[in-house]
Amino acid sequence: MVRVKFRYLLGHVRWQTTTKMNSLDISGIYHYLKNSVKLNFGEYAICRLGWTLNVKQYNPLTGLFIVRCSRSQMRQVWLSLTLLDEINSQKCAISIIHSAGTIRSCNLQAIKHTNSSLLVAKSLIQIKNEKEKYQKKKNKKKKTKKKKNKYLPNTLVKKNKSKK
Amino acid sequence: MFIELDFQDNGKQSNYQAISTLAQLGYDGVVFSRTINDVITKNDICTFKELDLKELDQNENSSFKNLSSLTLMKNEKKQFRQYSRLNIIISSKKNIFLLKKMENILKTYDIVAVFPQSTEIFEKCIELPTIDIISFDLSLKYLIKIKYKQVNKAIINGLFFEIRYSSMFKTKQSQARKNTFSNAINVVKYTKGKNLLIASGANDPINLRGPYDVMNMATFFNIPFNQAKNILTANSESVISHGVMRKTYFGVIKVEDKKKIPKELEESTDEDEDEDKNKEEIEIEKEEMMIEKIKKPIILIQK
Repeated sequence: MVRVKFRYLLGHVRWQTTTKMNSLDISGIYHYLKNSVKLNFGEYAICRLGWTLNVKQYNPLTGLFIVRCSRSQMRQVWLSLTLLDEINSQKCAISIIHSAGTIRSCNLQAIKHTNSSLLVAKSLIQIKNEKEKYQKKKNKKKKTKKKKNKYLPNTLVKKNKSKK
Repeated sequence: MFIELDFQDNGKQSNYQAISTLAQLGYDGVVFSRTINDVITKNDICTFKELDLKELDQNENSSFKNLSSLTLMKNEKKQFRQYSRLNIIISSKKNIFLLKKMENILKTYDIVAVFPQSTEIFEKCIELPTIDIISFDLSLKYLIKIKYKQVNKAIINGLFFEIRYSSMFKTKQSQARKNTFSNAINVVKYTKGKNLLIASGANDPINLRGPYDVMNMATFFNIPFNQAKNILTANSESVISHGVMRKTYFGVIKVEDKKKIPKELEESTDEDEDEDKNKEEIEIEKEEMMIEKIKKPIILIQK
């Protein structure tokens, strides 16, 4: 069985200035990606990629995107993404986090990546709450145990049962 | 354990931004560098101080607005390591003797690198014991002539060769990108992948790339897959240990500042011990100290 196999790359875009690029679309990234492949690897590489090159998802808030390419050309597309410098006359840097055979595993990895950045905000709040709890525990008095009265009868003694 | 081997030192604020981006990308250590042309003087002593990262994170009123991602590290005991480095560009034959003479100044840095500009200087830099790395300026059109015999001598002595990839990100000068590719393949051909390093000599933290991106870039320099990961992890740590041995006196003795020694290894002070002991025991100790002084010979010098 011959099947066309793809690779999906999860990438993260990082900008120099903090201005929000709301005007950037999926077609914009595709345009700049194609130009960088042409610059670095020539027209033969584009013809070999053909229709398999595609940008599937892009989130402008977090900067994550997913790119599809054929399995044999994965490393060339990877290099052309790292050497990408400018988008819309602003400097940027791209780093690739994960490469997989399906979109689903890429999405699962994207959830882990955003969770780790949420942990930063969570941990700073947690540290404050834990410090307050620890100080409260110190100030509490220890509970005193009830002492046993020696003169009460011990009703829990077991009797030796004799065998018949 | 990935370590970034070259980042230029431009002050406290830029260093803090660089560390925050590197921790996000997945690195565990940084080497901050400084460049010098030809002449080494007494003013070139290392003035690098490590940044206190816990204080900078917790200051809410500080001017550092970027949240650092050091809390992403799961282990709190793991610290972000910082080292210092010197880059020396040598263009004339007369200044090579300074590398041997100014040995005490070079020992204040953790790593020392040399950029030779001609083949005659390259021959003499191989036998020097005060050097860790030999690297090249890859954006030039014609590289230095390298020979197999000289490279093998350097590998026996324990020196390393370096490739820098920051000159590929100048889009307006497309000639620089072409030259780095051809020169880097040339360097890999003569070293055959042994004792190689890959670093970025960057000014801005935008020109930094993650470790897996760099490994993918190394495959296009004809480095095989197995060695590509070794270069970033094992070789970068062996350079630092090579620098540590260079600081010692023939590998026997090492002198350090008192602040760097952790508190556990410090000797206990006499004040804590005196409280537990009685007065009688203290007097006995004092007498023993006096007796030991008398036993030592006294040396008289006659003029």
